[in-house]
Amino acid sequence: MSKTVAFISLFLVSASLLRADEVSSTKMLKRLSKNVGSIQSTCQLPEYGRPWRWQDSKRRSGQCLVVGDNLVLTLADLVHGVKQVQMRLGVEPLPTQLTPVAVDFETNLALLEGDLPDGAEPLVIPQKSDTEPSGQVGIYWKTPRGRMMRGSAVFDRIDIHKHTHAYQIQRIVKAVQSTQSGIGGATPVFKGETFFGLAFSWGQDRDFAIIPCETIHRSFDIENRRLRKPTAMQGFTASPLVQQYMRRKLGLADREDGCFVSKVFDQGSGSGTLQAMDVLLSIAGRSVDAWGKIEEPGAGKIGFSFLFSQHQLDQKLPVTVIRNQKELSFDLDLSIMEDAAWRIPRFRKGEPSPYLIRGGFVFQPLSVAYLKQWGSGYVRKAPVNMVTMLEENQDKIKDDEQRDIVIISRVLAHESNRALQNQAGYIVSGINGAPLKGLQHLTDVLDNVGAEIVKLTLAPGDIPLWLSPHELKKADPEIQRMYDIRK
Amino acid sequence: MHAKRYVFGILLGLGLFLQSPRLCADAKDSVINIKVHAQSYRFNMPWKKSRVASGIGTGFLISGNRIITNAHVVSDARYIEVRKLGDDQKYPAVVSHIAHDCDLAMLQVDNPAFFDGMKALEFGTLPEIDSMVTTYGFPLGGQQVSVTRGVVSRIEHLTYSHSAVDSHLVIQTDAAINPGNSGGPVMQEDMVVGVAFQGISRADNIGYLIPVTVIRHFLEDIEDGTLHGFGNIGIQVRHDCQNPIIKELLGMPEERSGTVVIRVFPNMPACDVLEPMDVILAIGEYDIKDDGMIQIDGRKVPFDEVIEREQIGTEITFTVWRDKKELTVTIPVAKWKTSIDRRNPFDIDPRYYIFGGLCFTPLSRGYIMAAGGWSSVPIFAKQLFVNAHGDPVLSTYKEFPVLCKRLPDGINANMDGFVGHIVDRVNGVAVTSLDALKKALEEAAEDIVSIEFLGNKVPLMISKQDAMEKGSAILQKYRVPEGERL
Repeated sequence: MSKTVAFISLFLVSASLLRADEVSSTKMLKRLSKNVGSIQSTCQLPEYGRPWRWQDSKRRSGQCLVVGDNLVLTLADLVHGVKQVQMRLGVEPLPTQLTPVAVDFETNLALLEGDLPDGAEPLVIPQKSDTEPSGQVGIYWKTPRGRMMRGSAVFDRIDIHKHTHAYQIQRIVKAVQSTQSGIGGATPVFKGETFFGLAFSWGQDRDFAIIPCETIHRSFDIENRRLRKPTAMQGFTASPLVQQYMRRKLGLADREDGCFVSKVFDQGSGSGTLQAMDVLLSIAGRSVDAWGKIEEPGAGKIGFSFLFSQHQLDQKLPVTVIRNQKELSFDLDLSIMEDAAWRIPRFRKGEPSPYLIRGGFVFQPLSVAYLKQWGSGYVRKAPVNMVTMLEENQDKIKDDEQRDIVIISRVLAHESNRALQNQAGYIVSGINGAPLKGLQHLTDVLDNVGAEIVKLTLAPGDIPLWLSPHELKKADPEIQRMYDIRK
Repeated sequence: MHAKRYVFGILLGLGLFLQSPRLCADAKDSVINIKVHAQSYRFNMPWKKSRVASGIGTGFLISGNRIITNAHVVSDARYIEVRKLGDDQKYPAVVSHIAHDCDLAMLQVDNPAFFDGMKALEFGTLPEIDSMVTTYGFPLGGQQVSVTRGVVSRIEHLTYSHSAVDSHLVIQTDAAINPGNSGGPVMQEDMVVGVAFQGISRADNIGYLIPVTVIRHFLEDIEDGTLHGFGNIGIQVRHDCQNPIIKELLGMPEERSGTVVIRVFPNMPACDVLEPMDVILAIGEYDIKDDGMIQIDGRKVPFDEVIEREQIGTEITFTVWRDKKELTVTIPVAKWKTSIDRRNPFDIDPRYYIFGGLCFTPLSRGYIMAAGGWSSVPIFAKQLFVNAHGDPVLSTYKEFPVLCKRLPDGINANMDGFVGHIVDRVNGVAVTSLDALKKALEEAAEDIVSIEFLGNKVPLMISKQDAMEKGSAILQKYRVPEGERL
């Protein structure tokens, strides 16, 4: 008898708990339907292999979060090269047109504004995500038809990540075993009823990563609808120092700290201070282990690189290194990396590449965006001489002697370039016997149509290419007409 | 000079004619079925042999009881059996000469009974375009000889896929050429005009023959008992004279024609003789057209066909346009000097050296293919493979040692990241060969040796003492029979 009562009681309690959870979930869905919208963008990027053209436009879709009056937050990836972007909060007949007001490729976040529909309510973003592991997080998204959906995932760990178009390495949260596959695209994630962060796709189909609240606040002054001042960027790379004989030779055999500084860039924090082959012992007072990791509270061991993004430019970052068998301590001058300064431009924000077309020869600077035509594995697939040039110059900035590295990306066939149409793919290393400084230098020389002959030197192989500036220029109008080149 | 050469050629031809048996009316009496059991090495584990593979091919008898076939039929052969048509016996054969650069080989059968009833075939000349040819062979095996006919579609220079780098004259035909046909004679009017050797899988009925010009070069080459191979002078040309603007810039008279030198490779015969932007007007007695072609025997062929037909050491005269003046230079034909074996590897016992479980071998196409192909190789190794032969310093290196394998052990822990990378220096001294690497490692003054790799700032460090002491145990653990093959 007592057993039956106990069983019935247990059943009723369980049922009421489930019911309570269902009620809470329904309430949450109802509440969030005012905060979450579906977003669709149409993006178009330049065609870097034919720099006078643009690629076909592409549609991207994801979620956005209302964070202020007529203001939404989403992923920068969704608005990379954006031409038009719109959102829907519910089943309103016309979507709301949005305009990006602040885009941060470092954190992969974007703020957009537009005349949001009635009923849109801003969600207050906590200053910090509660990253104490607790098991589950809720994921909420809106279908393009305006229906609010819910799923869940397991909070896994804190990790670091570099977004596609970023220089900085960020601290992120990894979630696994999602009930819904393909989570990403700025899907809002909640811990209980508290906003936790925005999801982006990462790893396996049912895994994703979350940009936490503190990163959102570090990127944007939401109230004033603007980007905050950038934080520091690491201007060097590190590699593990885990060879036993090397540790012995460096006098580190009995220690567990110290990784190598493998390359120091011409710009960014560490530039001018650190040196390749320095052994990095500590940074910001935290010991760096042989694999380049530090102990992060609540996260365990993670790579030290994310520390830079946590520091403002007016702060100092103390480091200890071993250089030439001496232990040295100094402060790193924190700085950022300027896109425009690189010798090999990235065009990471979708900027078009400069180019010069003369006599059908398409000259343009070697850029990362150009090499990415060969896909994400471009380092292995793109022409070997260009990739080697990238490897040797990607950490260098422009100087008076070398502004950029000019390539012949293609030759548009015309009578004037007969017999020379297979010269595409070469690097222009010299002009009239002197090193070529860059595209502007080439333009200046070719513009001198009075010169009878211009001798280019192509690499590899120091292959000569003789051109007549006058004849090239003469052919240009017809070539532009033939190939529909407007500029 | 040329007249003398012609007279010599005629006499040689007459001599061969007088010595040779009567012309054969049916090539079936000369065709030979070849079965080969081959085994090569795994170039990323150079101490280890691959599995034994069996294959079939065709050959044919020529004067002197010699059998001609393709090199790719008998490459890496461990055991070869030949059988003539209608004979129930198989006879063992051995390779007497093999030329991987032109995909030809010569076999020898010691048992004279094999040649009973066989007739030696004779060589003709280059066939006319649009003329009929007949191929003989054993496509996909079989006991009976298969005969197919086709038309000569064109004669051009093409890369021979066996080596993947050598380019010679080929005859294209639409006669069916299938696996097993390789090495078979292609006949026209009872004379051999080619050897069937390769096709194109993505096209219908396009097969290729090695023409008699290439076969003759091979036969002349081995007359002294040694194979020297095809030669070169070491230049790259571009047909700039097709462009009237450049022709004018070069100061070339309108009525003259030629091809423009754009690159002269270091340590090759043309180096210090020809210069970039020289225009080669003529090679020997042949005027070069603006498209780089010449007329030989009434056929239009690339000008380097003249170099192709000469043996190594022969001097060739070039008429050159330089600085608006004409001059004559003489350049000897030489073998390509290269520090990297760029051909597909056959009949090679790969060199290697193992130090503390780290196995080094020369960078070669064989290694790259065995390591997983081009996409598996670090960019600096790829760059070296492509460009080293054009670099004045690097082209003098004997070879470029690559760390091809780590045999894991405590003394080489955490060194996997260096696998596939090219050794640049040991303790700061440039390494120009595998032998130099061995010497530098074993004779290093300090115990901890630093090995620097191309494009890698962080060196590999290993204890010489530990490597020497534990080296044998590591070899035993991984069943590696020898620690080196140098």
